[in-house]
Amino acid sequence: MKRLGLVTLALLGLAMLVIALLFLASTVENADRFGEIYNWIFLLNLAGASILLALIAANLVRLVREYRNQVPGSRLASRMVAIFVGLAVLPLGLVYYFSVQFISRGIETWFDVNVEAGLGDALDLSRATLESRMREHLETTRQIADSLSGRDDQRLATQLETMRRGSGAIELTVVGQSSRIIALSSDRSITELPAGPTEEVMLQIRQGRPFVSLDPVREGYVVRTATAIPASHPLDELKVLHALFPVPERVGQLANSVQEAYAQYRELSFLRAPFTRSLTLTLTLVLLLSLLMAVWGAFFFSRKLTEPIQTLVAGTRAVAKGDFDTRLPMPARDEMGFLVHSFNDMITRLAGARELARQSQQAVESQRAYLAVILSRLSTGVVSLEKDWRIKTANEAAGAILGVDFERAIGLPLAEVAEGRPLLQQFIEVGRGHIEAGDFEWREQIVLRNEVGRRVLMCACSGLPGEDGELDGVVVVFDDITALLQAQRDAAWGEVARRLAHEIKNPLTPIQLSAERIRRRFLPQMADEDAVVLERATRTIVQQVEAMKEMVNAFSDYARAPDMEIVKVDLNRLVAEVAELYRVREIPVKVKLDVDPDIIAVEADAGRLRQILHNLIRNAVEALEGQEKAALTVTTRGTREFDIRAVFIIVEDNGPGIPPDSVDRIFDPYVTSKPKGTGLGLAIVKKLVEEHGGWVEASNRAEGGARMTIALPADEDARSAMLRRESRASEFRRAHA
Amino acid sequence: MPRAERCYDNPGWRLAAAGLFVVLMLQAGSARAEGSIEIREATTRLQAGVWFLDADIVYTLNAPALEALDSGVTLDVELTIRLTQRRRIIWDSTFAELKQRYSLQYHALTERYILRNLNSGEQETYGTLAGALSGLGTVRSLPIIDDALLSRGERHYVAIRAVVDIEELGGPLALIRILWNDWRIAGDWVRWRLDR
Repeated sequence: MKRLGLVTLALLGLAMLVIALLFLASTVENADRFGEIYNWIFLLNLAGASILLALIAANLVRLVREYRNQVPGSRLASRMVAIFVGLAVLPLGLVYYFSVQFISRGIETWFDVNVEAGLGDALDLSRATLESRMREHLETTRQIADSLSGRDDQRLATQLETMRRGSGAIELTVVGQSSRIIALSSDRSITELPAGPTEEVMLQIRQGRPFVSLDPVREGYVVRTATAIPASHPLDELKVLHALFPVPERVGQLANSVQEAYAQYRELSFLRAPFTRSLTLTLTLVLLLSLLMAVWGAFFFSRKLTEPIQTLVAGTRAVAKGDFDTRLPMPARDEMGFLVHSFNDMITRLAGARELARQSQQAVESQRAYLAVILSRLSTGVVSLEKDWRIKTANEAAGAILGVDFERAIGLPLAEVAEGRPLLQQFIEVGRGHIEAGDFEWREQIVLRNEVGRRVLMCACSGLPGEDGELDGVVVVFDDITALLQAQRDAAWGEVARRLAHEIKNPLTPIQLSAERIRRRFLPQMADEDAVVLERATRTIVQQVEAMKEMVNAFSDYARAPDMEIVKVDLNRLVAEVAELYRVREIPVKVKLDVDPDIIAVEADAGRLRQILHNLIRNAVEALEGQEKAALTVTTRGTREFDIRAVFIIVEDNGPGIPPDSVDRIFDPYVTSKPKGTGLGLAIVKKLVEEHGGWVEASNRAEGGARMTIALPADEDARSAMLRRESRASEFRRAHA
Repeated sequence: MPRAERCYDNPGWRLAAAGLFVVLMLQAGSARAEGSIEIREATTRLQAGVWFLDADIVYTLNAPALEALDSGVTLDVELTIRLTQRRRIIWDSTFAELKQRYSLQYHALTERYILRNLNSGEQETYGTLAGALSGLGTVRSLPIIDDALLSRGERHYVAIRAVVDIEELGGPLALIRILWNDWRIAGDWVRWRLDR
């Protein structure tokens, strides 16, 4: 609105200036109409010039400021202004110069010495011609005056009429003192007053000189003569004869023509200097206004041209900064308008494309997050590698299985990460063997060994095709099936035990009874020597059968345990009670307790828990046989991590430790490094612990000796979570593996 | 005879023109020779219900005006008679204004000065400039207003002023009269009470 007002004001001002200029030009043509308002027009033009100057100055200052600040479009505007001004000034200057020259030279050429002299001569000639007539008329007047001398005033009128007709005069008048008309004869209309002698005439007559003059009148010229009528007596009143003689019409016209030409030439010659100046001033004013308008127009149009460019640059910068909501105003339906329209269209398309890209990226991110959640929840380890064996992605399970914090290892070479990590090194060796052989699609069960035992992984590898179809990396998926295999083994052993108990136990009793019958029936009847043999043989049979029964009972216990009876058990007290049983003189082992006083009641089967402790301590005591400074430590620890309330029972000894190749099978039946025992102690421990939902691990201590670690849920919630293998339970186990 | 007094008047357009500094500079830049118009005597008399003016005005032309006249340029003489009525609070009101216009021209062929009364059309010729100026300056029995038009009980004043300028030129010469009027001579206003 403000912009429209300014434009309207500027247009009005321009229109007024143009009108004022036209008025100025008209003044030159018609002064009668505009002479009185010329000053106002001049003032208006001057005010217009001042306003234009102010506008130009303001525009110039603005342009210079923008140029210094390197505002987009300012250089173009400066160039355009310079070109416009140059284009305007040069032709206008030339026109002005030649116009001024033309005016001054042209006016000068109007006036010529010869013309002036010729006109002067013509005037002199005319004058000479007329003067001869004047002399003639004066002479005629004198003659009439002489003839009137001494005549009576009463008869003068009649005589004058006769003489006027005879002399050809228009009017004859006789006047006395004080210009009193005495007699008159006139050929003129009676409405016209007689042309009596003027003061000038009378003065000259009184001086004694006749008067003659050529008087211009409306119709042409008349010759005016006057002379004193000779007095007949010295005291007579002075009488003057005043006569008007006509000049022939043709002569009058010619004389008038000469007079007018001469007068006009003299007038123009006199006025040529101010005339030249006035024309030059008008021309200067007109040119100055035109020039100022041209300069202001140059600023105006350069601004109008560069404004869309500046808008376009601002829009481009906004888009470069990511503002795709920018829409440029349409300047006009010209090329710039088309450009701006194209720009707006482009921005719209860019915004659309960006929105699509954002949505796609969001979808990808969402999918990636979803996949990451799935991978993180998987118990299966997933590791993707680039072509150069750098780790691309890896999930938590992979880290837990291989004992590596893969989150910090993303982007690092796998070999570098594997340093100091024997499990991962073995894992790499297996994989490398396949990949170097060009086998990118393989599946294999691999066994990894370390100081705490072995891990069996079911491993599958697949190549990842890149965009060009070539191999871009591999993804390795692996599962820790150690526990699965163990479970299978446990199940197999349970079946074996059940069958052994069933198949072997039944014939043992008849064997024992038969041996005792043989002994009772035949021992008294036999000779002493034979009796001794029989008695020894039957006793051996009975003892061995007893031993076999014990073994079968043990198998039976292993295979089929009674139902669990969960009660609240004071673990620390139970540990102390069991340990106390082994603090006897016969056992040369120093038993130490390190219990966690914060542990409150543990919900467990007290009998099974007692058996677990017995088996573990007995196993350790047996392992320490013959060991000097044998020592055994039982530790309890309570914890509440991953929302799981659990207790740890750790039994450590300083014995020879577990053979590395037996670490992962120590809990299998009949796996024992001791000469005595059934080989079922640790297998039963494992079975009882797992019935509670916990787990047991065997490892060798760094300083020597073996360590048995039992983790048991402390309440129903934890036992339920661990039995169901809930995620928190898996995380808890991974954290303590 | 009513006593004539001298006063100065500044019409609006003159004030505006004064603002035109360019014009003023041009005016100031040109040498103005001495010239004057002096109203020696001016009287009004009531005769047969009509007020008449008698005045003796001495015209002294300056050099540019004389040169212009000698060069055949016609001089315009304007005698302005202004009648005002006194008002107590605001300025006086002009209720009548009469302009008596003359032209003075040198006729080269006859070597005489022609004085024309442009109002009446009468014309007289003079052999000398002094005679012509004398004839111009002698104003006798010029009727200025009917006495019946004057309000009784009010004060009325009459003021006269004479101005000499070159004639209004036609065509491109028009600007000269406006821009370079060195020959212009303006007399002062002479004002007196119109008293019976």
